[in-house]
Amino acid sequence: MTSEGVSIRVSAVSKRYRSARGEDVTGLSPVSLSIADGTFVSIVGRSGCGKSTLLRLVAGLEAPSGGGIAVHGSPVSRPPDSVRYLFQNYGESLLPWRTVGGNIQFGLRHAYRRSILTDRAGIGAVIDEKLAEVGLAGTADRYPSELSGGMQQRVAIARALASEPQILLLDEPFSAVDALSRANLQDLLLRIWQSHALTIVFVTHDIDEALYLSDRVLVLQPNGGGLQMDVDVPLPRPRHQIETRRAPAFVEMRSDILKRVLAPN
Amino acid sequence: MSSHDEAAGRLGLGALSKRSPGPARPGVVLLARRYFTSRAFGWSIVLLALGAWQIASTLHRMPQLPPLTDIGAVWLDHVQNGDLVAAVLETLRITAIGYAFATVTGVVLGFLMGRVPVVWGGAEPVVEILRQIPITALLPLLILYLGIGDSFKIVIVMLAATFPILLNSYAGARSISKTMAMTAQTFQLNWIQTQIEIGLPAALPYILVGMRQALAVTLVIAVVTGMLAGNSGIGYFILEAQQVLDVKALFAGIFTIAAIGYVLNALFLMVEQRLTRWRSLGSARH
Repeated sequence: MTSEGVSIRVSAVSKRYRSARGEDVTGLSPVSLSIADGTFVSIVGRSGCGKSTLLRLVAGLEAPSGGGIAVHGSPVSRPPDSVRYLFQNYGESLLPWRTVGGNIQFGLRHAYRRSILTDRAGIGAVIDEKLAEVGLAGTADRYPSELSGGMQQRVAIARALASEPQILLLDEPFSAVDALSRANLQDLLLRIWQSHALTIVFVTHDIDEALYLSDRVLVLQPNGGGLQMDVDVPLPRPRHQIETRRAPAFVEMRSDILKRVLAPN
Repeated sequence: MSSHDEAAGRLGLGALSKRSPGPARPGVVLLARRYFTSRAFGWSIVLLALGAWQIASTLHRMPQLPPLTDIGAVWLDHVQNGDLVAAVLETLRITAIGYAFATVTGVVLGFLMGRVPVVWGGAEPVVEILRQIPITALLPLLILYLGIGDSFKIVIVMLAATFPILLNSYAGARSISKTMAMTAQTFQLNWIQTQIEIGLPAALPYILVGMRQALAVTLVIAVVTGMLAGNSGIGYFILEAQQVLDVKALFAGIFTIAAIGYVLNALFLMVEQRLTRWRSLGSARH
């Protein structure tokens, strides 16, 4: 088995929890899949299907009960250094006592490849560059609490980028922002994915969002039942919020997935 | 350099974003002015009460309630001959030393109890039992062990101040959300880095609340130990005044303590507000 061109390989990974009542609960039935370098993959499914669990397992934030995960060929036992994770509750993930610039500097200091930038001017320039990239130029001296939710998630993205990851894992990152900001954030994420040649795994409950963003959509069965569908999304890029979403192929794929997700099992 | 950077610097957080100064940070004078203007109504009540006191005691002479002007004159005498100043400095010295020890012990132990299960397991019963003992119950025993010198006073002040700091530091250390802990993990922070970059700054507002609570306690205890040991400090100054029935000197001593306590608390609040400025930005100022 070669790891050439494969970012993430998930082999028969499962997760069981012990509930507060002491019962054994299936978080995720065995799942196997591999994700190629540079692809944008979304995982969708109902609440409790184990999509966030799968993402945390890949991130090394939880240990699997069975099976194994490899990132760039190395087995995951702790958070892999080339991977950064973005949380749904970005408000609790940013350091509130640091300015926006300070948060990005945190990312720089804990970069995958140790940054050789040590002089203040160099660091300042990188911070400005990252902020400009997420459309937040000039906010370096603000505190996260002074920003809106969508802006905070942009800071979180800039901070993750500052640490130069190769793989970005996002857990329902836009579910708490308003619809218009969400569309902007989606396009921002696509731009970043392309310019940084990232591999992205994106968890969402929004099938439209998954199709709009992804090369490939994984659908999980309810109640941790494992993989239900693995759909390639051959829609042309660059995607367009209006054109793409009304393309016949898009509409057709959406109804296919929706039918399966809504079907009683 | 922003107030935030100063705070981080004191915590040893290393180089932070020391970039172009952002929106003007409030200066000390501005903070002090804001402190008093926001309390103008309360202060006018205080002044009104003092005015009533002055009028009443002038119209109707009572030995137990001398006019404020007389108390002021006596106060000035004692300041000028140096004994009040010496007494205050002595009390503040005991307070400062005991407080410093308490801060180190309370922050280190409380924080580690919140972050390291083994430390919590080992220390929790001891802390919970010890903090139930009223400090006054320990006084006779400690006098027996340590006499009535410096070490006795410092130990008492330290014991009294440690628990509020410890309990708040513990709560602060526990306040880190799961998301924040996972953020540290995904950015590859090791244990020490996690404590320095996330644990301590997150706990800082709690630690400061504990330190402020402790500050009020330490001053009280330092005054009491001075009385109890009967040899030094502002407590002894007051005791002495009572023994010679010098009511004016007694009030002079009491007012001095009140003023010192008030100023220390006000200074602390201002420092606290600067160090945790990030907390008040999103919400309305109180």
